[in-house]
Amino acid sequence: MKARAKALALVGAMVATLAAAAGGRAQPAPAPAPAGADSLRLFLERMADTTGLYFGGAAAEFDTAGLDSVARMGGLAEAGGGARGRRGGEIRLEVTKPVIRFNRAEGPVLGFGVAQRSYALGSLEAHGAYGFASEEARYAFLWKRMVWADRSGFRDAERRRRWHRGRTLELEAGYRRETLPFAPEHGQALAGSVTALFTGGDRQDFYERRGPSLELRLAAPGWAVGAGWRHARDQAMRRETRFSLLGPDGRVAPVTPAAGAEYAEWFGGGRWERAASLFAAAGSVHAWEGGDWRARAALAKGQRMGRDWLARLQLEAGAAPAGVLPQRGFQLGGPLAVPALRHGDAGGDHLLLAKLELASGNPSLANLGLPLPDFLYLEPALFAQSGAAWSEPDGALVAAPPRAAWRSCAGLALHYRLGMPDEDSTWRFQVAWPLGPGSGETRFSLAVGRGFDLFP
Amino acid sequence: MNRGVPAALLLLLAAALPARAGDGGPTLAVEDTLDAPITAVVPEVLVRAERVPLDEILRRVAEGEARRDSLMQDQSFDLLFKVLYLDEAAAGGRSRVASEKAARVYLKRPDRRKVVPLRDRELNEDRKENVRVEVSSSLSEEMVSFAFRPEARASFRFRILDRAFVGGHLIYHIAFEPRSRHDALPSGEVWVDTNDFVILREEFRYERSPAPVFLKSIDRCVIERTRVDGRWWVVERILARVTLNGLSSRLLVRAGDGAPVRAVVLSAWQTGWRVNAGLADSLFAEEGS
Repeated sequence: MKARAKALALVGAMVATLAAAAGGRAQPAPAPAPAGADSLRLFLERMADTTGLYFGGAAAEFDTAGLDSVARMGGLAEAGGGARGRRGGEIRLEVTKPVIRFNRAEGPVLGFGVAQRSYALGSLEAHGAYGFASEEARYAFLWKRMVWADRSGFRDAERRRRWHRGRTLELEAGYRRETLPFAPEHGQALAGSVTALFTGGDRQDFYERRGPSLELRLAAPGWAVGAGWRHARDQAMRRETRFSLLGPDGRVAPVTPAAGAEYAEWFGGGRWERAASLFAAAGSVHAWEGGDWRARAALAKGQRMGRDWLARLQLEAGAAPAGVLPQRGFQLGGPLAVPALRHGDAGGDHLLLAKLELASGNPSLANLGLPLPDFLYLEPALFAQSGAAWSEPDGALVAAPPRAAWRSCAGLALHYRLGMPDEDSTWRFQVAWPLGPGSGETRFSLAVGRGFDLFP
Repeated sequence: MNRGVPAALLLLLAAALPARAGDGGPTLAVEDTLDAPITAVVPEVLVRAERVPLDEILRRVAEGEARRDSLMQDQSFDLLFKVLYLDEAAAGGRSRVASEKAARVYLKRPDRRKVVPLRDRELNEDRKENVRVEVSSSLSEEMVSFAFRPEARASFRFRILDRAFVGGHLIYHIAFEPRSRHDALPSGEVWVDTNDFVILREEFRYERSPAPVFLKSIDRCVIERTRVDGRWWVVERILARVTLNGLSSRLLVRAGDGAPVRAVVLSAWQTGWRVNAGLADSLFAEEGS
């Protein structure tokens, strides 16, 4: 039977060849019968059946008897093409992310927030935290409301030759009493807490700011711009605890005092990002009473080198007028900016920083046969950083740093993508060696953040 | 018998197609995947039909998904969610249902959402598993089209695995994988209907766990779409299998014999779909979660 089938197939093929050679003059063979209209459904169902075999019992729907009546009892009806539900007014509180941190200015800090969201009123949020060493509370009351959303359909988006990207315009008004780090762009809240708690070696400085603010943000996937106003009252904080789990008490440094000030401030900024590891740009400008201002810009470019390697270049520049408040100036030091220096080892009203990193995406240490558990994917990286933080007496926006202000280092790091606090975060265990005079000393540090870490 | 004759018919069709290509109408290319005995005898037949290049397919898929999304104003569906615990990572182990949840979900542009719980059954009532299901307020089903979105395309490498002509639909089977190991992105396959350039089905897996301390691997995730009202392609079923690491395995100890849970299977059914039914704003006066 099989032999006869093959013979028939060969005859068919030869006829086809002859027909083709004759330029189609031969009597055309009848076309194959068209597939049935439900062929696509059957095609998909066949694949679904295979999937069902793989997943077993999980692939089966569970018994839904009675669920319709439950929905009706819940007061929901979809009659006449519309649906009615309970009208607003019911307050339902939602607990937001907890606050857990540790630093020498506050000690252990614990807190949480609650939110009540309503499409009519927007979102009302209240956050509170308490520092057990400083015995002070930190809190925020916020009202957020989406005031505009891009509802343009595909045709509009197509006509304008751009994608429908779900742009939204959000308004936020609130009052905050918060703890902020000096040079916030180099702040490391999580890594600083870990370092302070275990070794007492965290040198990040903090100050208190309180006041009302109003901000408008236009955002879409990949970019965002915003502008706003705030009234701020800055206040110094001091060291309140010398506690650490492992380090000596004497290692816990005092907190650099911030200058007390009260001012109204306008601010604006924006950021643009293309894929998490390829390109990012950001800028911000702050201007407050008395003619003071603060401007900062950062640019980052990633270059894939094959599937395993990635080179990242990040540049940062900042400027402020001479004699700016110390908490609003710029600093080098800490895990993100020349890590051979400690936080605040170099500072001023101007900043230039360049960071170059070559990182492997391959857990090379495991490939070397080291006895690491299978969840410990440690990826090696090399880095070099150079920067200058200096003061310009004439307060120029653009100025070249003096040669003596440059600080540089190079180092090795092990990257670990832990999946916490979010899936894009990497825990970086790094050792940095100083290059040149005044560039600090060999130093181990921990940094937690994204690949482009100058974009908080 | 049923292997050789269709092959011959395909050849006849292939011979006829080039003649039609000059008519100016659309031309379908037929794959020349023939059995070995046939290819040994019959010379190769050149097909002059134009094929859509991969880049254009990817662009059109993104457009097709964007068009689908933008035409939807509201959705409602029943969500059935189930969690199964397996006591063996490999196939053949025992399993038990840990949690069953059902809800009616209402979504409306731009970000309105209401979730009405219909059932919340934890099979071990003494020890709440605390499984929480979150529903996105987006109508765009990004879990299906994530690799094809314009902002993500550069992060993936694509290749065509197969084409199939099924009931008047030309289905492209396309594989994708992250270009760099630095991006915590999955690799997988999609089946695209080139009539509407929408994704009918997707399978993906993570080469490396995105949260290695808790999850050893995300072995396989399957998303299946179905057509509603003859027009809208919507997600009907999502299945995922996750192998746990030692830590999370011990945390999720099986009830009864105390054996650790080695793997978890998650399944979600979305049934009873209604699209653009004109849901009233009053339904969303209080935000669901």
